[in-house]
Amino acid sequence: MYPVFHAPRPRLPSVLSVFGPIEQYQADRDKRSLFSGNTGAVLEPLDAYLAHLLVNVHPGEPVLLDLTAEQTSGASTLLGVLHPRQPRVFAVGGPLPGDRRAYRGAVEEFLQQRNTDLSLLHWLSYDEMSAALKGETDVLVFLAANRPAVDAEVEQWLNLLPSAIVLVFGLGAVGSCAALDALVQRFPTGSPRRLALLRDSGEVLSASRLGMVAGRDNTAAETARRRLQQLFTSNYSFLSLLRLATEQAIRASGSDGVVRGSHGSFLEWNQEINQLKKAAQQARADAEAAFEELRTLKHSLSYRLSERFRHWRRQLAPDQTWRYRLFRGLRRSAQIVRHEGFFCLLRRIVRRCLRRSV
Amino acid sequence: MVAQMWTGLAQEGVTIAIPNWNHELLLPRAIDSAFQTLIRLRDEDVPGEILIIDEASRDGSPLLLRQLEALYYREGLRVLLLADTGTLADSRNLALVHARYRYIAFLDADNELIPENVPSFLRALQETEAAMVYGNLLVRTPTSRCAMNLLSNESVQFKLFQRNYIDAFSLVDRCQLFDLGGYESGYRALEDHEMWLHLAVNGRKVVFVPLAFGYYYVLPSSMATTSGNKAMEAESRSQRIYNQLQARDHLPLNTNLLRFHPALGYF
Repeated sequence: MYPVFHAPRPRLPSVLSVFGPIEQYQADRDKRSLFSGNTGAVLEPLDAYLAHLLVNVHPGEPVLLDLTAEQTSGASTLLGVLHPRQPRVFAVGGPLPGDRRAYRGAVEEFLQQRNTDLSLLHWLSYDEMSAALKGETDVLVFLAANRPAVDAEVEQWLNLLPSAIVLVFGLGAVGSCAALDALVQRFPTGSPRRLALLRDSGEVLSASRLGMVAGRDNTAAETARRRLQQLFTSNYSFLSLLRLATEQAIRASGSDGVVRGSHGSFLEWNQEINQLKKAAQQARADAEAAFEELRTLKHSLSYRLSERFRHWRRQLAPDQTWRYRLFRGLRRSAQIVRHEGFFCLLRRIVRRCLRRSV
Repeated sequence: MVAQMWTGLAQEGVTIAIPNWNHELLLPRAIDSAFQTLIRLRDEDVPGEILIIDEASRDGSPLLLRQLEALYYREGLRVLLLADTGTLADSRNLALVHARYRYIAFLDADNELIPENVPSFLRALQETEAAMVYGNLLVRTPTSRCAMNLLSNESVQFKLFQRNYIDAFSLVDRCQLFDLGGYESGYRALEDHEMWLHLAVNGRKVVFVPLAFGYYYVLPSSMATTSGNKAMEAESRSQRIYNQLQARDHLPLNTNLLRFHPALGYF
């Protein structure tokens, strides 16, 4: 391979960079027919990304407790272990090696291929978890909504680790998700714990199925949630963009003109416009007629002759020369002879000469 | 990553790669045209995706892309947000690495594809086994609705060794570009010209398809208009590499004057 394709460049997280490795893991797993977990039902790409960002914005040094490993066949474990903050990850070990559904080996093999430090990953049984995490403060718990009595489980973990944040993956729509109903019932408004659905944080997160439960006084959780919200809030509202797009389409269809031309409320307005249009049309016609007249005049013999004479005069007697002054005098004399007679011209000449001599 | 790369090479389909650097206001237009193209391709049972590579933009593009990815990841919109700014050649090489499918349509963030014609370009690429096919680009000003010029509107000829007249806005076969080492990342301008010359001298086919591939928008202070010195430098470098002895006109060139239309064949 060529080195040009291997030069590493620093990146910011995106759904692709977070979920890409998980997709690859799933593809490898499917290819080798190792086991088939319905990962998509629990771990959505957007939710994986949000969980990743939550680890990013967590003010402490979070420890991940992955109780969804079994439901996601290890994909959620990868989400934690591959995080650049390198949190410690405690994941449910699941079926023992040799079992068709065992995922531990696949996860470890995948991580080894990527040269990832496996010492941060601890496989435990569900019962060993509470003992292992005793005393930890910044714990993020991953839970799947399709576990039985998930609301009770959330409460149990928050009782054990009061400063923990529990992320519940795979919550459906209100009214069609029993887990969501149970969580809302267990953590109502005013209870010491707060259930937040990340899809409420912004319109672009509407596809999220991730819920977050933490103590109401857990400032780390609240700060993290607000920072997540800010990461998806811009100057644009999608409703206004939608409005702009639809308005533009309607404008392009020309329906404004149809309404203006046919609706009764525009009758008076249309009449005035029509009158103005008629006046404008008349003015245009008049201007065209005048222009036509001018054009005819310009083509007439007399006009052309006068133009020609003027040209010759400019050639023979340019302005500000004695020839021009002579020409002007002759022209004036001819005008006087024509209008007043030859004697009048003589009289004027005599009078001017006398005035000069005095 | 390497494994992922090679799996992708075998998958028939089209990745529309959009390198972006501070084009927040123009990205929606480009992405919309890319989505329309995906719909057209899916109508013909061709899978596709949109891969946007953001080169550390500062103008709000990363936030916009984060939002769009959150909304449309399932529909095939993928985003790579880089934390430092590299060259356009680096972006295109990243697209070669991260694309899911074998064929890549390179679309700049300020341009627009013509979705109806992309399937014909794909057919042309598959039937000719070319490394790259390209077509007419209709040149527009930022908001005009009519074209006032054409770009990329001639087949490859020897004059390509003198100057570039083919834009990077084209459809390429990722396998062939991979095999030839991708874009030369040392170029800070005209990396596309270098790539076409590289393909041509390596005997690959670069084919002109007489259809409109997209709209090319001319913008004030765009990279093409402000990179004068870099472009001259790149041009002389390409001259030195590919035609130092001015002998190319007297040598055979497989791709010379290749024009192909899926309905007509070569003509």
